[in-house]
Amino acid sequence: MKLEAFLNPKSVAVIGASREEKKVGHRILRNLINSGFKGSIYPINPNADTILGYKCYKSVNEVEEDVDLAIIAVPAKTVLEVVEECGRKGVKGIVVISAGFSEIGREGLMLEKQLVSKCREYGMRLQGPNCLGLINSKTGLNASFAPTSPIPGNISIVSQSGALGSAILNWAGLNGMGLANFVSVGNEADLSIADFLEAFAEDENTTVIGIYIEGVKNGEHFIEAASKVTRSKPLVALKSGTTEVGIRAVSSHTGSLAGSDAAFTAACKKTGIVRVETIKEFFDLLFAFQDQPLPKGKNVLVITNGGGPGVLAVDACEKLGLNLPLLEQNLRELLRNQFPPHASLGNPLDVLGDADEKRYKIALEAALKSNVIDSIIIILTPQAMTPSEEIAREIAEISKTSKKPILASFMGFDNDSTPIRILRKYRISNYDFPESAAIVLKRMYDYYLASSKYEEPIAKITGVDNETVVRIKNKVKAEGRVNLSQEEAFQIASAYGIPVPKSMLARSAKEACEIAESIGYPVVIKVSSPDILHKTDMGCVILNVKSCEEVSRAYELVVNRARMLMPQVRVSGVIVQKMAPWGREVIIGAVRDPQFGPLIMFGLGGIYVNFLRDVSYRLAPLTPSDAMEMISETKAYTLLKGVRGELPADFRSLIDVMIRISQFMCCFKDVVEMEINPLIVYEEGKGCMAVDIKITLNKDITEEKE
Amino acid sequence: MRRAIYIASVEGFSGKSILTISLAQIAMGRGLQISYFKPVSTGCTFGPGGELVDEDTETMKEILGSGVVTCSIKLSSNFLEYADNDSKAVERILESYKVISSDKDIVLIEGSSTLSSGSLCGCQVPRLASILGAELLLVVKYIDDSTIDQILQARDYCRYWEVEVSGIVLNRVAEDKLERTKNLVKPFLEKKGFKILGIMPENRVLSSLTVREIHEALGGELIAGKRGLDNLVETFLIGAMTPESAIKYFRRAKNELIITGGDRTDIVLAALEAGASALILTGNLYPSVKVLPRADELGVPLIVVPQDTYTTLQRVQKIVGRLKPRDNIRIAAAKKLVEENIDWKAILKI
Repeated sequence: MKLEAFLNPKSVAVIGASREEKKVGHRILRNLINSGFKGSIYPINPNADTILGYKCYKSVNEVEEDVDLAIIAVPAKTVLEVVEECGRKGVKGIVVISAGFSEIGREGLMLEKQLVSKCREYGMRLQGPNCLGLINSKTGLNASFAPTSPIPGNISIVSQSGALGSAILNWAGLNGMGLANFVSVGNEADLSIADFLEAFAEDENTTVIGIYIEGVKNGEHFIEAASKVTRSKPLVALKSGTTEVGIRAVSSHTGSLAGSDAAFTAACKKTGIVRVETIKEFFDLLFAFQDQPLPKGKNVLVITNGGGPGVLAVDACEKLGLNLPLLEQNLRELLRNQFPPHASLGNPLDVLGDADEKRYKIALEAALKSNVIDSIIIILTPQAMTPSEEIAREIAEISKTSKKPILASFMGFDNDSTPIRILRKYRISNYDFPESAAIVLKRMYDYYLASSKYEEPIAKITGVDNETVVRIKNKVKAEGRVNLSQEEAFQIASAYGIPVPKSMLARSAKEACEIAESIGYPVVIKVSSPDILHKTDMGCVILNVKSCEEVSRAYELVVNRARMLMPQVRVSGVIVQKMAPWGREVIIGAVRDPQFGPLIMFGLGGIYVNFLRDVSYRLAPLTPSDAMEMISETKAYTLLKGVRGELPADFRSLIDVMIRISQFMCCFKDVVEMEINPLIVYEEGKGCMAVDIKITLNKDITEEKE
Repeated sequence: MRRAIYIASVEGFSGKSILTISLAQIAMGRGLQISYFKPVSTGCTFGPGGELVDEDTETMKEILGSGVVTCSIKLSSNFLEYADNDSKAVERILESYKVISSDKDIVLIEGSSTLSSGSLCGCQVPRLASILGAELLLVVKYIDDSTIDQILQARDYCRYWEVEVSGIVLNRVAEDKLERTKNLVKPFLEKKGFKILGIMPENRVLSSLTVREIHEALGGELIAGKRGLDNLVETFLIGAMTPESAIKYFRRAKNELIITGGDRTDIVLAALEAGASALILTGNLYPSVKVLPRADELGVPLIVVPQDTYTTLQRVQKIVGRLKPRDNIRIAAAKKLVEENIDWKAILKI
């Protein structure tokens, strides 16, 4: 088992154990004793003989038996010393609770680096520093200073925030949520969220994992670990810092770049992480995954004893993209015979205001028998004659053997009322309002799809000319530039098999004419300057130029405009480019995300892309189905399929370009940004063409071998 | 004394100092005895004791030694009250010139910013060149074809004083205009009777500032990244957007100095990620201490200043780079540039 010393220790030392009740060292020791830890406990404190009835040791070296795990709660400046002792003692895992490390600035960071190297020196793994501790219910280990011990269960939680972690523990306790493991990772100097995810993926006691995350330290490791988890168990993530204000708050709180929300969302899509927006959803999902089977399809039946709530529920489902089919004909006839004639047997299935447990039972059994229904939402509103307790009991009974998820929304009930207690006891998630149930079903279904998805291999495109790419990049670096000129970008695109129109650089109006004559009219005249990235905005692109005379005029116009508007820029002349015929315009972009690497973007092309934000993202490397999914997530998809009798666009060639860009970004780590805008896509079988390309390199000037 | 070379320009910041320092070093490297003479300085600053200081002269003193460097008449920019009358000024210049030029192989004379600087006391460049018997060499910053007009006008002006321009150096030619300057501008000027002694391309190292220069000019507190004080600065950017868009802008710039509100830790992190040269943090605000070690590690200076962002930008834009005596990187770059692009043998006649 991974991280055995942390998740299944035989013996634990609490270094800095204290007799003073208010001290963290005391709280940890008390939690450890009270939680019924099955192994040995060794309090370490040079100034005490016994604490809480346990023999106290002056140093960890005085302990005669082996020590697997040491919990350290001494002031930061003495941490190194005790870690050294732990190393010599042969301790396997270290949890540093103490604060005063990288979170306080320079000296703290120095100390943290020393701490990590000390641990490495002795082959010890380190959790923290600056953390709440860890809890695992299998061994009865509560090595934290949290005020309560959770009830044992199958949910494991990892939190980057100690404070939120302690609130989660309390809430879980109050609401009967059972935990397998709880870890607060602190500064993640050594062990990160990803390490614990890998461990929990293998942990038999864990069936669901929840993480609270502010920023990912090592994107690659995180993705690898999360993918491993989601193959066998759901992973629910609550991420903060998703808005501008939130990102700023995370930056100053953690001192690391929060990373773009688009990149994290893409990471979730890549790995099958179930991402939630609120703490409430976080708990809703953890409960639902723990208690209910996964929906194997997106067809939901809403059973209700009130019209209004039923309609609200189907509205919510429909908006989320879930289906609401009717029961099969024979099942509806069966119900017809047993229900009052005015009962509505559609979806929502209205069992009427006077429904008793029998009517609910009949409806529920029909839903379970149905071959079209994958999940059920049961709504109950308290009406004059409603036997809520009996209905709750009936649902509980049926759900015991159900292979379809059953979510309840008993509306307007006290959390402590008998019907709700019954539902909770039989592990049926109940939601105050049916919309929450719909969200939960949707996310569960998304996870089902992700976990059952066929893992498509990444196809490597061969026949690309890497030498040309390296040669051009080296030239740009040698000239002290980061932005490639249009000519250079076109050459690179060509080398990567991306179709570009014929084009050439002209340094004078005369030369521009000669080029235009040779490539044929109509042409496009664009200013050529490594300093102007938004040529259209500057009026430096003239389309549809049809004669030598027009070419000369366009040359003077764009060159002078560029020099007038931005006197500082370098202007090397103009690009004379064959005008591409009309087609549907899309944009394909790629930026290198600091945490997750190349993030590929797709959307409707042209100058409005920055305003409409109708774009989708995925992390590279892309598979063809990733690319197709990206396309279909945007409104551009409708246009590409063809409207008003247009023929569909050449999806195959569009996807091919997307994959080539993905491979290019993965292959050349010094490219920080690439954008084709627009890529003109022609009708099926007729390909596409990149008519404008931007490429930016990072500032590292090391040249590559050609 | 064998020869006197008067290095002058038609406007400031054309590259006189770069040429002068480099020629001095080349000549000394060949064992020649040289001295440096600045007849008139009209742009003096005030030293710590309130005395007038000509920065070029001070720099040359450090490089060549104080015994062979003199500035005769030092004036601040409001100098009418202090100017001597014509004959007295020229007298003083001749006096110091006699001292500085004796036993020397070459005297390098540097002009003030324009050819007419010093006219009010009869010390315009061509007149002095004539009086001192020096060859007049023009360093011209080539911008576009209007520069040719400037050159022709300068010749007319010199001819009024019966002096011929002995050679032209076209300096700071933008990379994209280099070909045109060589193939079109140079032949044209030669046809007009000018001797073109060299064409020097714009050099990033010489035309950019260092973070140290900016820090010295602005003041402010350096809170991290001391190791990067010699980073070059080519452009200034204001960081006011979300970090996600900011990082795009920062990545597209080269050797950028980013000015942002001191509490924008997110912008600081984006700038560090994008490889910025330095950050100026405005409003006397400090970022989260957690970013300081990262800035140290990457060698990106963080400078906290009391002013607001706009005022700070205005101030940094006014800072101009000057060769400083201990700025070995730039002095070496200047020498290399001159050696490679200028016919220094013709100038020094060696």
